[in-house]
Amino acid sequence: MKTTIRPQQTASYHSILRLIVANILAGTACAVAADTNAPAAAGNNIMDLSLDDLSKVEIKIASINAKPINAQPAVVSVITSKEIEATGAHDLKDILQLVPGFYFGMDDASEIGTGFRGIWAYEGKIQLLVDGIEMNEGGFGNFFPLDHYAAENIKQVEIIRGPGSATYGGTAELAVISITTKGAEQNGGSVSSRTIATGDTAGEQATASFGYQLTNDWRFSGNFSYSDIVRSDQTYVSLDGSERMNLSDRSDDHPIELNVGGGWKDLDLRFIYDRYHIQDPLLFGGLPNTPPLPFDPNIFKNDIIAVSAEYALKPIADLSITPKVIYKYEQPWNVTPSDPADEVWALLPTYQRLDFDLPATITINDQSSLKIGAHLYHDWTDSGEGTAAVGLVHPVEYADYAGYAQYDLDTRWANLTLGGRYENQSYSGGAFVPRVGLVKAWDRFHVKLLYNQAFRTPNVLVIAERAPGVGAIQNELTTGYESEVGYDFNGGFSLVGNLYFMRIKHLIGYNGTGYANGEPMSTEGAETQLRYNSAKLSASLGYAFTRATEQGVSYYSAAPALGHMNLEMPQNQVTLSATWHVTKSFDWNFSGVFMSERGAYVYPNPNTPSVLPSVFLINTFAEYRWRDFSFGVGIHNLFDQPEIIGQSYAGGSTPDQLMGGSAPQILSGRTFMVKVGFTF
Amino acid sequence: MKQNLHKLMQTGGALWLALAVLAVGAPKAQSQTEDGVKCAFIYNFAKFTEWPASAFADGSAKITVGFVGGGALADAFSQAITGKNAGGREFEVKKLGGAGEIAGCHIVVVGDAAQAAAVVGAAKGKPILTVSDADGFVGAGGMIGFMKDGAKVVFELNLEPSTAAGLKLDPKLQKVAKSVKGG
Repeated sequence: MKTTIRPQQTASYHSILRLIVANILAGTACAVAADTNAPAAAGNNIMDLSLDDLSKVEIKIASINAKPINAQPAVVSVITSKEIEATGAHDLKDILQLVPGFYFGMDDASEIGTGFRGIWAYEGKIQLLVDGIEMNEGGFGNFFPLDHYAAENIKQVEIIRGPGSATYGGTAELAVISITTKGAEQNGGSVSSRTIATGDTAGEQATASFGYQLTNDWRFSGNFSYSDIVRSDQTYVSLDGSERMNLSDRSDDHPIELNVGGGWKDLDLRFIYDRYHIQDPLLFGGLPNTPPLPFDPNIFKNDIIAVSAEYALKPIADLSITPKVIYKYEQPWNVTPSDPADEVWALLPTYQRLDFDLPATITINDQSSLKIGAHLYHDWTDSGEGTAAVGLVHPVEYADYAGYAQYDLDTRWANLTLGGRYENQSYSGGAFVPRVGLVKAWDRFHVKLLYNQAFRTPNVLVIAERAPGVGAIQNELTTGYESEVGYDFNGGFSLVGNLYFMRIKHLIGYNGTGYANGEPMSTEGAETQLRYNSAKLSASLGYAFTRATEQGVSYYSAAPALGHMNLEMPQNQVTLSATWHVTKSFDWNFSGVFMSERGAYVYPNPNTPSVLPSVFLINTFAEYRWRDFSFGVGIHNLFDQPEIIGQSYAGGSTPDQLMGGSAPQILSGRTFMVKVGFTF
Repeated sequence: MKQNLHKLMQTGGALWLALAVLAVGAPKAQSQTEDGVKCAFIYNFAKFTEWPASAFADGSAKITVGFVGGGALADAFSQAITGKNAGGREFEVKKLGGAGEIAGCHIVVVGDAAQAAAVVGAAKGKPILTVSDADGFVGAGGMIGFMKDGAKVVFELNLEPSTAAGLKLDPKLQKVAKSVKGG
């Protein structure tokens, strides 16, 4: 009797690969077949529609990312240049301050960073894109919104809330902020100058923007800004009260930004130079206890040069492939020291990244599309001769590769999104993050249910500055559950609101001695926004609520002062912006933010968080346009409230090497602004 | 582990197939291409515009629609308009090299934003309906500007230049327009 030996049912890697390919092809091929059988003449009858009916027809979207906001599988806010201009905003902080869910905190070289949904999101947890280029600095993954990213040159800010790594990659952990600057569509340009004065000090911001569609094929644009702005005119008081200083002449911010883009047919090129230099009066090494201060402020410097090239290929009608390559050269966290103790910080390494992305979008039929892609980057630093002196391990080098896919299916009942990304970093290993979205958009009402995971790989300086005894830093993993509903009322009103729960595992944070992974932390909350638009009034009222549901990372916690909150994060926030269109040429805006009490380390309690009182900041700005000129006047912080920005973690760094953290900075009080603009 | 992986991939395959089947069975949404919707709008603009009699050589003369740039839209319109008429007049489609060639046209559609200002200048005071999706077209003296409103194509009207040119735009156009300037 013959015995049949069955092959063992194990899958070789080749068979797994074959299955992956087969899976994708099966889905694609069947759906393409469906499209082939679809009535080709569906578009012919449109010529017979009435004007009324025509204005209701929804157009087919070529890209799965180009859906209207209410149909996108994400919680998205868009802020237009008109809204930005109306408020008199001069930087990204001014813009984000009016978005429910965003807060601000301070790090240890006087830079201001961003918190989101109750979590300190400064280091690598929010991705900042400028014209599609990630502008988080490569050392720790930070970005600096204060006096930075000139609002005057911004065409639009898009905020995608919630974990977004499946689509955007590693730093898109809690949110993505995508800035689009003014481009070739201007067919002209503008220049502006504004004076920002507070107390007996005054600062300036100058901007220039131009863009031209030269021919059908050629386009060109450029944006430039220079700022010299005093961050604060307030008095700084150290945690133990032994040091006090007026910040008026010790907190100058000097950013310079240059962003040039050009294109020919489907090729787009871009160059960005982002020079963020600010005075750091607190010094890394800590202030001496006896005034007068012997040192001028350090100069904290973060310089980024980025170039990108992107080419949109469309080999067949329903397939687009857009290879993109980005090179970045940075000097992150560089310091020109006044204090000899800080000299080692002048010797931090340079950082470089070479990044290649290859996304392909297949429009399978009117209902479904598939996006697949591969993303590779290589990060490296030089040897950084001084880094050993501050305990850093250099040079650092790693490679990262990822594959991602997203399938969108629109049906009568709902739109489904399924996606995921697998990424592997040669230092910290691999992670898979899924993305699931269910969206139903009626004419006026929409509902979204979203589940996303995101991860953050450790950056070069995080790896270099790991805490003693920490062998390796693991990837940080975030899980988010979100739901959103929205309704467009008659008469110009619309209301949108979301509920969320976000949980971070293996949080990468600075524990007072260096970087390490922490225990899980999570927050839950809600954000809502009511909008009204008419010929006479444009208004937006927002509210955000958040609370910490898990606080495994003790150095982020505001306990015992506010046991259910993290440091510097208010539980309740109200935002308001209302623009009265007095005439066609004259707009008058009031904007403001209310933040409930927060936990922070302040004098006279250096070693335990105190409660900062709630604060209500109100601004007003009026703009008159005459021919090609615009004239604006405004007052920021009308009621001269103390805008206290505390450190969002117990870092034990400056100024007194207290384990509690740094004493807060107080930003400028009532500030006056005059702006003149010219459009050509 | 590998068996589990194999099963997972099989499950994944089933899922993809299910999605594909769903895509086949899913009812067609009422979506059109952007150019298709614009073609239909241009056709309606012709139907709801009254030109002075002097704009046509005779009662049977065609409505001439010129396209400055936007070749794909011109092709789509040329195809879609076949067999159609407006007020008994058939259509003729021309691709134009620039603003200097708009004489004789009744409608000029500007797809090349760089030419928008020149076309507006050349059409000023002449019975030519100007249409474009260029940013700021209506504000710069154009008559009809296409815009996007989410996934919908809408348009804004500027009655000042059309009135000055002797064109009468039917109030229905004003009613459907997203905004009307100079009304």
